[in-house]
Amino acid sequence: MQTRANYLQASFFSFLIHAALFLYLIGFFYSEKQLRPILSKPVTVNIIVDDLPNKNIKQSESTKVLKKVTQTSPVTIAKDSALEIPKISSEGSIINLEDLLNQELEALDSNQLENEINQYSSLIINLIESAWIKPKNIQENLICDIKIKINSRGRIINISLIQSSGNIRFDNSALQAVKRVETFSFFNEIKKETYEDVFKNIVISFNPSK
Amino acid sequence: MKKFLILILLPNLLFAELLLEITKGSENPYRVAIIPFQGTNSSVNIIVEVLKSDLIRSGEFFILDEEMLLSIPSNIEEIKPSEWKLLNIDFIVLGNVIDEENSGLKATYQIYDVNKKNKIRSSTVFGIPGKLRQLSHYISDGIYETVTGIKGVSATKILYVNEIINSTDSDYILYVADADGANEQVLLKSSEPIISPAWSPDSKKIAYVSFETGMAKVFIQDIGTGERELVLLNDNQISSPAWSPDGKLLSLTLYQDGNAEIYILNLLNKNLTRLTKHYSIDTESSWSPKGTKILFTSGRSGAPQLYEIDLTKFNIKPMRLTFEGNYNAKGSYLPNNEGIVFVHRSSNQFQIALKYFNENFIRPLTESKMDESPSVSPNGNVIVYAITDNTSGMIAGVTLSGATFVLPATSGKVREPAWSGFLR
Amino acid sequence: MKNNNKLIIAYSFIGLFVASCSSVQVTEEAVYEDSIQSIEVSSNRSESSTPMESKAVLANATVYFEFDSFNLSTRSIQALKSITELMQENSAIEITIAGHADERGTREYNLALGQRRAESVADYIVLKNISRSRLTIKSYGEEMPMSSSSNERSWARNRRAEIN
Repeated sequence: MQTRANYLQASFFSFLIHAALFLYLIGFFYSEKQLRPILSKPVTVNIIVDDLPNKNIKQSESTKVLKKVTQTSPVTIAKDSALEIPKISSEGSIINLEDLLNQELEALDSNQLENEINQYSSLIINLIESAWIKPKNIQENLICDIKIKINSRGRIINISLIQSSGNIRFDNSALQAVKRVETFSFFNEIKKETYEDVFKNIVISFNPSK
Repeated sequence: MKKFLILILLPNLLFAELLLEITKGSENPYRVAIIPFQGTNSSVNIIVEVLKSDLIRSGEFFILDEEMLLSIPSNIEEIKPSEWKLLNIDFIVLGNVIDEENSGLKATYQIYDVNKKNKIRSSTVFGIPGKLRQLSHYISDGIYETVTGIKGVSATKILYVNEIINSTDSDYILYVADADGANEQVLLKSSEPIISPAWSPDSKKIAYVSFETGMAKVFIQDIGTGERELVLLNDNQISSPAWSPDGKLLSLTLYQDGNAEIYILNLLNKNLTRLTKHYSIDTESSWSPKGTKILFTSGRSGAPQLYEIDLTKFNIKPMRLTFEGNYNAKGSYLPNNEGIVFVHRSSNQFQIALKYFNENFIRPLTESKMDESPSVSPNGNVIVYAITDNTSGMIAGVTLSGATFVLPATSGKVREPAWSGFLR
Repeated sequence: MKNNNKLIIAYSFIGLFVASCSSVQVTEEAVYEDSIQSIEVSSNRSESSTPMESKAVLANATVYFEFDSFNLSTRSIQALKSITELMQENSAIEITIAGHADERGTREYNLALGQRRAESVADYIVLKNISRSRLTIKSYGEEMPMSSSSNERSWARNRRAEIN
C-alpha cells in the first residue's frame, strides 16, 4: 500500500514538473510586456534618431511570403522622440552598424521579392486573360475558381475546378482558358524558393464583374 | 522561445495559396484558318464547305477567308506560327480525304494551336458511302470540341412538320433532317394535321400528334422500322407527348376530364398517373434533364404561364416560374438545368426567351413578331424555332453566343422543330 | 449495326483533373447513321348519319369567341338555341362540336383552347336536357383556320366552334 502511495506521489510531482517545463517552453509564464511584437515588415532605420531595432526582425522576413502581396507604409517615428539620443559605445556602434546594413539589404531584398511576385503574377494573369473567351448571355456576378499545380518548368500539371459559378458555359470557358495557356515559359527564371513557396500551387479566380 | 512560437505560426502562413484574379476576357469568336483539304476525290471541297458552315453557324468561330491565307502548308511541320500570328489566327486545321475501297471516304485532320506552337489534335473519321455531309459534321464537331471544350451538335438531327397547301386541301409531312437543314427525309405523310413531334431520349423513336383518325391522337413511330403504335386507346383526344429522360415514361395531355390535364403514362405497364387537377388548361409538359421535374403551361392564373412540379416531393403543388408578360408557354429545360427556354409575349410580339433559375427576369433571344416552338440543342448552346407568318414558315436558330441563322427554306409552311439528342 | 471502330470521347466539367502528359488528342471515329422508314397515311373520316333536312340547318352553325376565351356570348347562345330545339325534337340527331383557335400562341395551348370552346358549347347543350352521349367533342386548335390572313378580322373568324 505504502509503495503505491509513494508511486502515486512521485508520479504527481513528476507530472507537475513536466507540465511546468512544457508551459515554460510555450511561454506561458512570460508576462505581456516582455513579448515583443512580430513585425511584418522591416522598419526603415534612421541611424541617428532611432532606438536600435532588436534581432527579432531577422525572423520576421520569413513571414513576408503572404497570400496577397500588399504594401505597408514604413513605420514613421515622430520628431519629438528624436530628442532622446541613446548613448552608443564605440564597440557597440560597429556591431550595430553591421546589423543596420544587413537590415537595409534585407529590406531591399524583401521589396525586390515583392516586386518579383507581382511581376510574375501579372504575367500569369495576362496570359490567361488573352486566352479566355468569355461566353455571352450569362448571369451577372459569376465567379469560378480553378486551382492549378505548376511544375518548376512552368507546365500546368493539374487543373481542378474548386468553385463552380453555377453556369456550365462559364465554368467551361475558364477551364478552357487555363488549358489553352498550358505552360508559363518564364518559370525557369523564378528562384526555386519563390517557386516552391508561391507559384507551385495557385488559385485562379475568374471574376469578370469586378 | 519567441523563435519557437514563430516557427509554429510560419507553416500556417505559407499554406495560404497565391490567388490571382482574372477580370477580363475576350468576347470575340475563335479565329480559325482551314487549309483546303488534300485529296483527289471530287468531294473534298464540299466536305470543307460544309464543315466551315457548321463552325460559322455555331456563332463561336470566325473562319478566315481562303483568299486571306498567306500560305498553304501541306503538313504540320510546314506551319510558321509567326506568320499566322500576324493574321491573329488562333487555330489552323489541316486535312486529308482518302478514298477507301468499298467503304466510302476516310478523312484525317489535325488541329494546330498557333499560340502553343503545337499540334493539339489528330483524328480520323471513317465515312459511309453516300453520307458525305455526315463526314463533314463529324469533323466540325471534333474541331468544335477541341477548341471550345463543349460537345458539338453538327452531327445531330431535327424533326419538323411541313404543310403544303394545295388548291383544295393541305398535305402534312413530318420530316427529319440534319441539324443544318440538309438531307431531308420523310417520316410521315398525311392528309390531316400533324403537330408536336418529339424525340425519344435515344433518338430512335418519335412521338407526335396526328389527326388522321378524325381527332388528335398520339402515335409513337420507330424511325428505323416505321412501326407505329397508337398511345392509349380511348374515345378522347390526346396530345402533347414528351418522353422522360430514361425513356420509360411519356407525359401527355388528356381531355377526358372536360379540360386539358397532364398525365404520365408508364410505357411498360401502361399505368396512367394524373399530374394536374385544375379546371384551367394544363398542357405542354416537358421533363427536366434528370427527370425529377415537369415544366408545363397552365392558364390557372388567367393567362398561359409556366409552372413546375417536383416529382420527388410528396406535395406536388405546381410552382409558378414566369411572372413577366401575359403569355409564357411551350417551355423546355436547358440540358444543364440552369434555366428554361420558352415562348414569351411582350407587347403583342411572340418571342423566344430564356430565364435562368437564379435570375428573376426574362432574357428575350429573338426579335421577330411570331416566333414559336423553341427547341434546345443537346449541348445547350443553340435554340431552333419557327418563324411564322401566314404565307410561309421557316426554321431559324439563335445561339446563346448571340449568332442567328435561318435554315434553307423548303416550299410550304415549316414549323415545330424538335432537336434530337447526341448521335455520335 | 454499329461499326465497332467507334471511339467515344467523354467530358466531365466539374472537378476535372487533367493530367496533360500528352497534349495531343488522338481519336478515331466512324460515321454512323440510322436508316429511315417513310410512312404514308390517309385519313378515314366517318360520315355522321343525320337526316337530310337537319343537315341544312346545322351546316351553318358556328359560334365565335374572344381571344384566349371560351365563354359563350349572348349572340352565341341565340345561335345555339335552334340547334338545341332541333335535337330535342329529334332524338336520333348526334352532333360533332369542333373547337378552333386563331394562330397566335402555341399550337398545343390553342388545341386545348379549342377543346374548351367545344366544351362550352357542349355544356350549354347538355343544360338543355340533351344527353352528352349524343355529342362528339374535339378540337383542331389552330390547324384548320377559316381564314388565313394575319389580322384581327381573320383571327376573329378563326376563333370558333363548328357544329355538324
